[in-house]
Amino acid sequence: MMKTVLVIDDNLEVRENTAELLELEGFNVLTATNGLDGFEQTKINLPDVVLCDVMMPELDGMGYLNLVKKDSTTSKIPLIFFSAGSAPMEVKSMQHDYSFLRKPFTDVALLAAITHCLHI
Amino acid sequence: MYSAVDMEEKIIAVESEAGFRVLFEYATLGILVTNANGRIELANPGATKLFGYDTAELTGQLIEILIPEGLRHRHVQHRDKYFDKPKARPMGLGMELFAKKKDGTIFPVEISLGHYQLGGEQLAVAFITDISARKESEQKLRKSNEELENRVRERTLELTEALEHQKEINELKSRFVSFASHEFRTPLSTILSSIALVDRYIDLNNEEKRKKHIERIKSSVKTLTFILNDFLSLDKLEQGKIEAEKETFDLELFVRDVLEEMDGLLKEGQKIVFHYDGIRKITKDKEILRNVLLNLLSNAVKYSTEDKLITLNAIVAADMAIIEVIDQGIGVPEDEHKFLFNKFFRAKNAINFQGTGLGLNIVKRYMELMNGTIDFESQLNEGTKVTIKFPLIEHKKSTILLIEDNAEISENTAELLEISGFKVRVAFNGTEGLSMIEKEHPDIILCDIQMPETNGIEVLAVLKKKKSTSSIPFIFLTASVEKKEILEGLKMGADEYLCKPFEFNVLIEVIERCLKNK
Repeated sequence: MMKTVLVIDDNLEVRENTAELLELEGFNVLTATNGLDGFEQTKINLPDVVLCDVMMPELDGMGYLNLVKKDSTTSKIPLIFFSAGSAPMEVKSMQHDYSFLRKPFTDVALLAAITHCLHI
Repeated sequence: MYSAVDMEEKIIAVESEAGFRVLFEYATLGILVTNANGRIELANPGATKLFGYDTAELTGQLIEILIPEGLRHRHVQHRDKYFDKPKARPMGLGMELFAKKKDGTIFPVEISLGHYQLGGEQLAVAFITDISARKESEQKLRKSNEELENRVRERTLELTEALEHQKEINELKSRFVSFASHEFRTPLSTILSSIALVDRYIDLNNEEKRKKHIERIKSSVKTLTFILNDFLSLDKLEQGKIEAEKETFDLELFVRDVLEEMDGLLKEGQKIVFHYDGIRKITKDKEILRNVLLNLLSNAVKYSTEDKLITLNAIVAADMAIIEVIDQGIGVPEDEHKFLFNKFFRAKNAINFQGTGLGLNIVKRYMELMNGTIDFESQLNEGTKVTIKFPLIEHKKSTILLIEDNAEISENTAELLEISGFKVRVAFNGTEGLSMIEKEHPDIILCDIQMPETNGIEVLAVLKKKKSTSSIPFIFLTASVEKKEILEGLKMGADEYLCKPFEFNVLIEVIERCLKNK
């Protein structure tokens, strides 16, 4: 079955490029531009894995994480955070066993992180 | 080495009448013998020399004539007490003692006291040393110590300041590095993923997608270059290394070029509308202006959402250019307006936007280099309008040579002239003035008439004889009593004169009139 990935990033290029790469790899991809939008999509679509940026307007990665964890329907979804440099988020990700990708990342690293989360 | 026997023999010799006499006559310190009433019985040559009296003048006088008036009364009491219980001791232990010469000079002394009886009469002996030289050298030592301490204090202060400054720079640098790394990572992500996609689209033979990603790589490189330029600008500005380099160019075409550079950085549906009004050829530093415009435009793009309009207005008159960049973006919270130009400042509603907090700080400093100004109006969630203004005609700083022997007048006048935007050189007499004119060719000369050595009239005469200096405007500063000289000066070709005291705005008026007629 086709796996669904949600990509949350406010930067148009990063969002689109990541989505395109994943589509070419055969994933069904959804996108959101901030944490709030991302959380709504997470609730409605229940993706198999979420890729989430840390620094975003409206609601940032940390805020998104809090919402997702409070909701029992979404709390089990594997999360991958990616950021251009957020040490606290990196630490938190490690503590909670989320994957963390530091920008810039290669397509290989991205796919490896997703594969790891999906246990494919 | 003396043996104990030698010493004893010497003491015996001293005790002899002749030995005593030698000591008394040849001692360089002053020795005075007084009776119980304080009258001087004996004074040695050392004492007469020290106080400037003859032996005859001293003998029979009260010892108090050798003491400064204010201290005499107390001395009488001390003297009476001494004879009650005489013993050998230094006088006034721990106190500074002073004595008075015949000519009235008061000088510091050290005195020790002794006593003996002669024919039933109590006599006191005072041994007096002039310690002026010692006091003086002590004073000098103390003063030089104080100076040294002051210097050490000053240097310490300077060093502390330098250290603080160094710390500040280090902090700035480390913030630089963390900001730079963060700012670079987003466009680098795009470049890296676009390259991966170009690879895949080659295999898939999708030309259109491939082109799109190549464009994306290009614009990300552009963004990186912008950020790098910001950092480099700031570094150069911090070090004072940037100077405006002017060239003449078509401002409208130039702005269109800048807008082209912004292509590819706009969000979807964003548009920049450009209005140009006024003359087109201006003379300014292109690089600085380009940096300023790119900075303002990329802010407008960054802080407004997709589909929003950005307006760029340029209104250019002969002497002044006004450029406005208006966006419909998130705006700046009112309580943060005052911080907007601070280095690394990010408004609280901008924290999650990419940015270093350097852009506006750089723009402001660039505007200062262009002798221009920057202003902004902003309303939260409505938008922001940034206005820059810069002059197109710049007055070359005229150099004024002020020749005036009165230091106060010359300092005050120079200061006021500098505040009014002139470059001021100062000479304190006519000779010095002439040699400065020779070397520096001032645009205008302000010259006092009455001066030692070469006076103002003579200065003017020398100047008028030479072709290279005869056309420099010359203004006399005079005390109004020198009417004859004023007339003579004007006849010789002085341009104007001012009577002291003159009002400063009158001086400026006269200077500007002379410069205009030049």
